Amino acid sequence: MHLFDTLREGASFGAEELHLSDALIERWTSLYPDDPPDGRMPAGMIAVATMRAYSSLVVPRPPGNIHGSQRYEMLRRPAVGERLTTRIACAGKELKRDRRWVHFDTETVGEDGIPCFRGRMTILWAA
Amino acid sequence: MTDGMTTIDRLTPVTKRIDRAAIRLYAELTDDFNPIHVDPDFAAKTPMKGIIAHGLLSVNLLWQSVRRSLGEAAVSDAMLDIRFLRPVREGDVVTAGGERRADGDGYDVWIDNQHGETVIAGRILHGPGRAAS
Repeated sequence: MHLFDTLREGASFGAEELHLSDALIERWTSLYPDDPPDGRMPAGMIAVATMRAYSSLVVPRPPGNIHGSQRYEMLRRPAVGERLTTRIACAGKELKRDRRWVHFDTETVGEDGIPCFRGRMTILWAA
Repeated sequence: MTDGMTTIDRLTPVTKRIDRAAIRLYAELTDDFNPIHVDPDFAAKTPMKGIIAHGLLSVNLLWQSVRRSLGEAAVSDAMLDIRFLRPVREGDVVTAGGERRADGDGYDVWIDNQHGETVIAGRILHGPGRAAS
């Protein structure tokens, strides 16, 4: 279990791959029908890549964590069909007014290894 | 602003009802099955006192609002920085929008619920000056 006291700043959790398949895009647009079918990843799917990496790689986690803030830097929208790789690392942690906050940095690259987007998520850690 | 990008004062609002089916589908898409999103019994025993939606489920409405208002370039070259201020509960109707910042540096953005409460707030910057501070 990754507890607040044992998470280490700078620790890398590895990488997670995501195929932007037609089926995945169809699932997304079933939730958000207004996202344009322009052959590129809808911008909100940044969250699919980064949260899948977090969910898959930062495990096990205490139940009840809460997402506090999020920053995304979009560099380009990948093409549908592209395979993405997202890396995640612990960027730091802090205790403020008895609340445990943990920061994670994510970076997602395309098949050419060039970054598509980056993120920093801050989580209120439950234990 | 990036050359060629539209400049307006207010972003076009985008609204969505966040029901349990949407929360469940978002959990599947993001592989985020935190019990506070998908387990009513667990969620009822937390300080939230019930299921809350993933914060990022609503954030896509901000991307949609920016795209509709400013065009594709404003989405593909942007820095979005937001805080989750209040929970979005199942059945809530949320509306995303924004207003051009007084200093002209991007837009203040927000998502409000049906009670007029701001649940998510932040800013979006475009182009060369978008580096996070």
